[in-house]
Amino acid sequence: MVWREKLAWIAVTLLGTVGLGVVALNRGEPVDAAWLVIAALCVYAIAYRFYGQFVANRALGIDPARPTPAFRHNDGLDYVPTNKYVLFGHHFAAIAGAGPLIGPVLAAQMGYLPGTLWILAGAVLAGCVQDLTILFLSTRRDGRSLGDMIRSEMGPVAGGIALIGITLIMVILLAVLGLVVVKALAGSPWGTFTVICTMPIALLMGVYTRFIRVGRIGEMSAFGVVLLLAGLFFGRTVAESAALAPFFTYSAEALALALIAYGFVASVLPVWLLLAPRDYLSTFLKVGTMGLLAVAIVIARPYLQMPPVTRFIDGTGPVFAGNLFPFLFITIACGAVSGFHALIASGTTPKMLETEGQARFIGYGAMLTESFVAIMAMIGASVIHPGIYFAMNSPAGLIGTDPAQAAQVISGWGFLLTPDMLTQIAKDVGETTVMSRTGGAPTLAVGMAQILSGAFGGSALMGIWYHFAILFEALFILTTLDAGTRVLRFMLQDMIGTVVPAFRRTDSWANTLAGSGLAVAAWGWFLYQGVIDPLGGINQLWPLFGISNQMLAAIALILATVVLCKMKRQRYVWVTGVPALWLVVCTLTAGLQKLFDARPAVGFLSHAAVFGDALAAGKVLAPAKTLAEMSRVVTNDYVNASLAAAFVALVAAMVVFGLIGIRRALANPRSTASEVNALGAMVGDD
Amino acid sequence: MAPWWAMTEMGQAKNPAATSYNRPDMGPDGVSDGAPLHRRGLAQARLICDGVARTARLMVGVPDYDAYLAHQERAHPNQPAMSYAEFFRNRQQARYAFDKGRFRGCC
Repeated sequence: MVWREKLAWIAVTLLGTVGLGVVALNRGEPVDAAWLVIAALCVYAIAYRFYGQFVANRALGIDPARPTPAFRHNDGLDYVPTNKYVLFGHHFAAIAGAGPLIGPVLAAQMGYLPGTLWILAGAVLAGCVQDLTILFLSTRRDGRSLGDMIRSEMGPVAGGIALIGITLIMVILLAVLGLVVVKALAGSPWGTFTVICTMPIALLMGVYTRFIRVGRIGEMSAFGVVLLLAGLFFGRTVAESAALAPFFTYSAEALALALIAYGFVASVLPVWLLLAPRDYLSTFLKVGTMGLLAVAIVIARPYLQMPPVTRFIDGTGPVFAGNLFPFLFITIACGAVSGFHALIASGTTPKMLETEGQARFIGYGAMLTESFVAIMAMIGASVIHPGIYFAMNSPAGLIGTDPAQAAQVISGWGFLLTPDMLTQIAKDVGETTVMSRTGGAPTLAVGMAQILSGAFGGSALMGIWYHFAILFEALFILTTLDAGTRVLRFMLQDMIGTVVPAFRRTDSWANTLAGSGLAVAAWGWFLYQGVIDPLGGINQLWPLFGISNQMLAAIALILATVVLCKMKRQRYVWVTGVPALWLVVCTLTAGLQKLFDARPAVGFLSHAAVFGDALAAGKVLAPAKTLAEMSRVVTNDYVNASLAAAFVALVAAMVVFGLIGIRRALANPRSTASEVNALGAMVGDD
Repeated sequence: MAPWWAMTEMGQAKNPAATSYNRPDMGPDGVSDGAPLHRRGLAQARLICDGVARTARLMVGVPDYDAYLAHQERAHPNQPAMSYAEFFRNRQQARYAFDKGRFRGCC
């Protein structure tokens, strides 16, 4: 390194330290969000340049001269050597989604500092390492999927267990994303109208690119976005019209049932009709809005109203139950480390990589960008007045439904709030109420509306920006519901097909309908249960989702650790081994606490016991209103407990398989990894 | 000097097949260094637009059609290549042909 470069890195380090210092040590007065951005960018730059390079070059032993699958199997379609900036865009668009936007918003209940520190440290040391390593491993194995790699490196039983894990995650993921949409749209005619508009628009776009101007994605997306914005503006008129508003005002239960029906219908339609055009719209809108938000934060320079640390680090918070360890880590999930990225990094990206030398830019770099999205979500949640934040994210069972009562309860928590502030913010964003809009999306939308209207348009446009943010989240969540139901259907068909082979045939309409029905029933059950849960559902479902996501990350990192040992690179085993161990400890602790914790708010079984005892005595406990609801609460607790138990068992089993794999690898003096060698032949495959 | 989006990594020099830029009809920055400045500026602007468009298309799963044609010509000169419409439908179907664990865009 020349001295000028050294000086530059010393400057970056100093700047980052100052930024972190301001963010961490400030007490009392609001902090400029710019400091948070500066601290994050400096951390990312240093991590990418030094640790990322160390992991790529030393730990993994990247060989830029080795032919990649894109060259060995070049077919101009799936396997295409692709410019690294173009591929970065593809990879980032595939990994980014609702997760990093929602997790940090929920985590803000403990203050912005604990969450921010984990988003930075987790991404740099665990998330980016996972993405880079899995991308590298898959590239060395002709772009094989995560499941395939687990099967070939750790044995068929481990592969089967991982597949069951992925299926369970899908169910929980779809339920929790559905719940986020339901919570955002319930009783909101403006939001509901805009989201319903996306369906005819997508159908129109689908027909346009299929028959009228085939494959003209640019034209189609441009006029799709224009129609979408027209719907957004007209939504205000609909909401303000006494005649039209009732047609688009629905209860949460009705929306949940509609969403379940939508998931079923959408997943059996041909992909070009609804899924593909909507996917195009939501992808462009997603990437565009994230960029816009970054620009707006720089221009508006908002102040963080949330204190760095709140009293809720003791585990008594209303947004999610449980202590800082492990539940903060479980809640943030995707913004720091996400198991889903292991599926993407072993999907289409490794088939397009020009050289292994670019794996760091794409694997490590895209995850850093995703982590920055999580930081922006944290900023979005922290620029709102903390009292309003808690009013939006506390279930009605805790704060009631009356602004005066809610203001009193929340002021009692130490966040001074008047009923006027609640009605004013609802009026500003064009809603009747913002109370108990749990699920993160509405909170983020209020934060984004504040930031964006601060940068462009002033407070007059706040309602438009709020509903734009809701639309942007709902759009890609609905796309995920559609695509996810198809994936789940495929996995169910595959699993049930081992018993009833005829069920595997994907060209049969009966199979498609039955498979979609099963898939929708699985996530729909959890969604509906979450909607009618008086404690708000997100409370129960988000931790389960977080546990499952971190579990998948743990599985991916265990695989990476085993393969490092098989490659005889055990000197560097800590690079993936330490994050794997951390995730195992986190998921096991969280899973066991969800099962056995004595606090009914945390432990499913103790919650079931409280309600079961009351039921046996013939008493009705709030928030349930009838004995039938009481027994439903108990049943839900047992189902949730079984799921948590399944996750704990899955993690434990994978740890055992991992340890067996490591022992075998270390006992063998030669490399036993089954990868494609420099000459293009598969070696070590058994 | 190649523009930033067409720049190659250090290691790529060792890998002669790795042509970062998939358009055989153009040089790495689209125009020779001897050309007048305004022509080079225009060429650069065009290249940036082209790069953005290719990124946007690949984001939704449609790879570069020119690269496909170049590949067909090189590898299978005697077989007819798909038209753009066929190519688009083929790629659209492939993007949503979900198999085990292939999943995008949740977090």
